[in-house]
Amino acid sequence: MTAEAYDVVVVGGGFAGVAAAHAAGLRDARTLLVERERALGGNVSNAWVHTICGLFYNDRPEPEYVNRGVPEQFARRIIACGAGRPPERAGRVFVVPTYPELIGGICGELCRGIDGLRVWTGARVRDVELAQTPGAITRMTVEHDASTVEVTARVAIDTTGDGALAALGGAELLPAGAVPLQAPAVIFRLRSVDDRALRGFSPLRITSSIAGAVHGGVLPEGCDSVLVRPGRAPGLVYLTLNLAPIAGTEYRPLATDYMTDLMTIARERAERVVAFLCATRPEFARATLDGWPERVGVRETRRIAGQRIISEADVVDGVRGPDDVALSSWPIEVWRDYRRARFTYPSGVCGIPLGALRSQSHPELGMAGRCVSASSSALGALRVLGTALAMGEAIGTAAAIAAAERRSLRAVASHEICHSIRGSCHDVYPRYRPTG
Amino acid sequence: MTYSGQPHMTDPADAALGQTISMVHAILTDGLLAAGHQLSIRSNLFEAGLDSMAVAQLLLEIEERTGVWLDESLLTPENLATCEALGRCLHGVLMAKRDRKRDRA
Repeated sequence: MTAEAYDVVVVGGGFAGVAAAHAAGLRDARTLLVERERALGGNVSNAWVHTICGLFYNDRPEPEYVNRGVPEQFARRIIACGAGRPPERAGRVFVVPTYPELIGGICGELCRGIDGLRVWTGARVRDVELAQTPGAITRMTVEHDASTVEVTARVAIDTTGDGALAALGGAELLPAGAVPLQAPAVIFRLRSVDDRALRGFSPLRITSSIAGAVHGGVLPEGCDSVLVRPGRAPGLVYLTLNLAPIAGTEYRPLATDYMTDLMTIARERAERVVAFLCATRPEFARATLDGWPERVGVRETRRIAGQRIISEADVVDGVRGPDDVALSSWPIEVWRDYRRARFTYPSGVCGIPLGALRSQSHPELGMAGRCVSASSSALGALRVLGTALAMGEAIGTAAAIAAAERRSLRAVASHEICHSIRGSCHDVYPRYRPTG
Repeated sequence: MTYSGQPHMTDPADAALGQTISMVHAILTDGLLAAGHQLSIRSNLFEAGLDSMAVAQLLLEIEERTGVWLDESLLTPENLATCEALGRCLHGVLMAKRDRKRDRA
């Protein structure tokens, strides 16, 4: 077994993890990003989530970025290279639609231009001993490229979305709530769809006709929540099918066998929906199911207990404080029932305090993204991609400051992070190595 | 539920129409649309964020509350323009259903 020493190890290469690793590496921390899948980008690359939410203020007439560092720069890069479209208004919010097949490459680009940042994809953390005291070293065993590596780090950051590193290392997790977990969705791609399907009123009527077919018994239960969005080329569309739990079971997103079964059922339902559209709508007469994601898009699993827990009231009231290191602007969007999203709009942007990104039980463990320290309802706002980027940048910056000055992650102050991020805002993309 | 712009209605038929409009308004302002409490019965629903997802959920809510599933053919831009327009459309469907029931009896 070989051994490698890093300042910062980030586990989980979704948007939060890429932003954390980028931010740490940009500040000259020796950084390792570990991702279990082959592609970076998390739910975007692997579950084809294709809308970046939480990037903008909701109360402005034009899209204005709420977090000016990596989130803004990353979104601008996605748009500039054609991996997404300029901001679009959806009701009172703005979103950046993306083409998920292209996002993994952009995530890789964000990481490749930085000296001292290494990325291991297709890698797994098999074991971890999280630092128990301030300043202690975290040790983990990582399987990568057919070898096993003993990795040490001054700071570990969990961006797995599931709190997987924290759970493996025995860190304190937030208890499961009394309410059901948010329903997942599967997103798949059709080709040879007439572009009229995406014009004007058509997407709305397609959604309604599918729901009506379930209501009338033409399609089975569970097919009734489908959304249609444009793909990256003419004829390509994405369909989002929100998923009910497997009949008679409790939804268990952390159980591999359960999710495999759910994916099988999702595929059957998707094929029924496609057959229905082909048979009933001229725009879909030649359509075929052209692409299927690696996994189901999960909205909620497990969160890590932090020094602070962001509550629903914090989000709704737009609470700000001196310890804030990022901002959340997305409404609380909760899918307790797969057919219904409930939206609660906050009175203003909510601050994300540093304490919500630092473990309560382990002083050198940070987190960002879906496993942030927040209530289940608050997560309905915080889990979106734009906010994940901002959280990742904040905790990655904190880790780099801690490593550079041989301090504990606990000893880094929020104003140091904000100062560092503001200073680097316009310095993100010059470090990219163009990939053509 | 109160809202701005509700017409004054004294006739029973008008009152029933007002209740239907009020129900549509209540469904849409209860977490479906961004505009929330700022939405009047004559606000433009598309400007307030009515999209595919909101319409699908709206249909479910209407079906649960009235037993009527609004057919896709009724989901025209005109009928979905405002709470008032949609309420009038739904009211028409409810009245037709009531008349059919009466005829059968």
